[in-house]
Amino acid sequence: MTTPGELLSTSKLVVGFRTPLLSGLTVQFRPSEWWFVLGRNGAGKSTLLHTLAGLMPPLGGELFCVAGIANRSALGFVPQEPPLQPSLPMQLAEFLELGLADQRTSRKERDAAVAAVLVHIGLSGLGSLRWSVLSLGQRRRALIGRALLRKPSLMILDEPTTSLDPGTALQIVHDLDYLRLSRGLCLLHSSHDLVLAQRFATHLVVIDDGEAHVGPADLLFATGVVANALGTGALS
Amino acid sequence: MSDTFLQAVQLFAAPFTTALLLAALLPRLGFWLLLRQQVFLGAAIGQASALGFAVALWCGLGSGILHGLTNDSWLIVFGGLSAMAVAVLSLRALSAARSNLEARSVTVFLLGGSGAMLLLANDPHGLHEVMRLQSSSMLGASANDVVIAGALLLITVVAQQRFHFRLLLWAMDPTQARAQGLRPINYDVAVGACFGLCVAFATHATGLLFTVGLLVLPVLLMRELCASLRSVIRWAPIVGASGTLLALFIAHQPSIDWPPGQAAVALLSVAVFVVRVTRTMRGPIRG
Repeated sequence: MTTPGELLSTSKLVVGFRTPLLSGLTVQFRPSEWWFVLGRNGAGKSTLLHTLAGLMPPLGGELFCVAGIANRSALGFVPQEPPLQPSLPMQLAEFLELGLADQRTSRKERDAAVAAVLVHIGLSGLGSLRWSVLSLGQRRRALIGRALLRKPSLMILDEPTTSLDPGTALQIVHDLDYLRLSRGLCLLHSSHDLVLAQRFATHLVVIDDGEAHVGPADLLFATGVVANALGTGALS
Repeated sequence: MSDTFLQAVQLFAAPFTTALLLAALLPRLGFWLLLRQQVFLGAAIGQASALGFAVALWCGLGSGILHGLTNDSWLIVFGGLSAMAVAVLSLRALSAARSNLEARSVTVFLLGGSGAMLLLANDPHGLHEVMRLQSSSMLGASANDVVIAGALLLITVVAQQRFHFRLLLWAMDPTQARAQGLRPINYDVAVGACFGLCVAFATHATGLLFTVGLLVLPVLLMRELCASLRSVIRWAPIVGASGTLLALFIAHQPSIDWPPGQAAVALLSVAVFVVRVTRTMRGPIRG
């Protein structure tokens, strides 16, 4: 079980789809921490995040979480891209409202919450825009906004800055950092961007050939664990 | 208002009312197919219900009263079970794997159509009945059908109001629904059962063409014209019912005398085509 101050913890966790991709992960996630999950393509980053979000059963080990995470009311999940058809006339505000789909709220409360989140994600006044005309950066912000509507204590983000230009990616990450510090949000974030990881991560899970290296970001960067795992040592 | 139409209204009050109620009900169900990107699944479910009717007729349940149920009731039970099975299994497969079911829907559609004919190849009465269902004939609907159609419409409206946002999330993004603590399997079963029952009843009362047409055409039309999903679900049933009313009026003009089900489907199909072409020429709606 979790100890006080922990939101989610694992003990010798094994994740994968039928066959293990990652084994023996023991880690504790606490408020205000920013965990980057690093690894090569196919290493199991998304599988790990899906398992921690309760979308896939673990193949072994144990997973503990506080009540709010277990019943998903305090969990925000941000996928890379939702499976929405461009031809659907879905407005940005309608998309954001889906974050409250499982909660009983009045129309007035929903509208107020959506308006507040639109300000937070920098899309104020754009609630009536169709999803299909939003830029990739705006869609990523919308995905984060939908998760924020749930007032999460843990947010799991699956490569939220992939395919974005560096400026937009940096802006999104800055906004997430502000939310982390102001709300005590714990962020768990898969990424290939080592520059952002070096600058913003407090902790890392580095997946290397089915094993996880876990620890403070500074230490894992300084000892060459990241460079060895990602094969960037020869480049630097 | 023409005398011919007014006479037809008096003569066919129950079939017309049933058709109008179903024209308001079916687009509400078609909306969820649109969100799931499975418009053709509606045709497959309708055809599966026709196969269920054929099985009931083949079993000799299509005439008189048997085990306390009338022939119509047996047809709806068999058609409903068949349609429900296809609807629930299809929605379940979509939620579980997010796979596209187009190929499977086409197979079910073809198997349902051919299987129903083959089962009743040596039963002229049954074959005629299945052929009637597969085209469209709303004129056989009775006063009981009005009550059933009204009840199904009422239940569907109340359920959609109550679970609107949950259904939206389930239909558009089952993975995210699970991440938010919903259990998609509950919705697959509940929506699939409701869908199967409504489509089987509508096919029995008005025919396959009208049923599938009204499932998808008003929603496709409103998808082109509306700026939000909320507007689509609000306007599609109104468009379905008013399109059907207009078709009934046109079909019962003395110089025309068309079959009303086909007239409604043709009218809505032309409307979808015209709006689509106009939209393509004028560019997308932005906000």
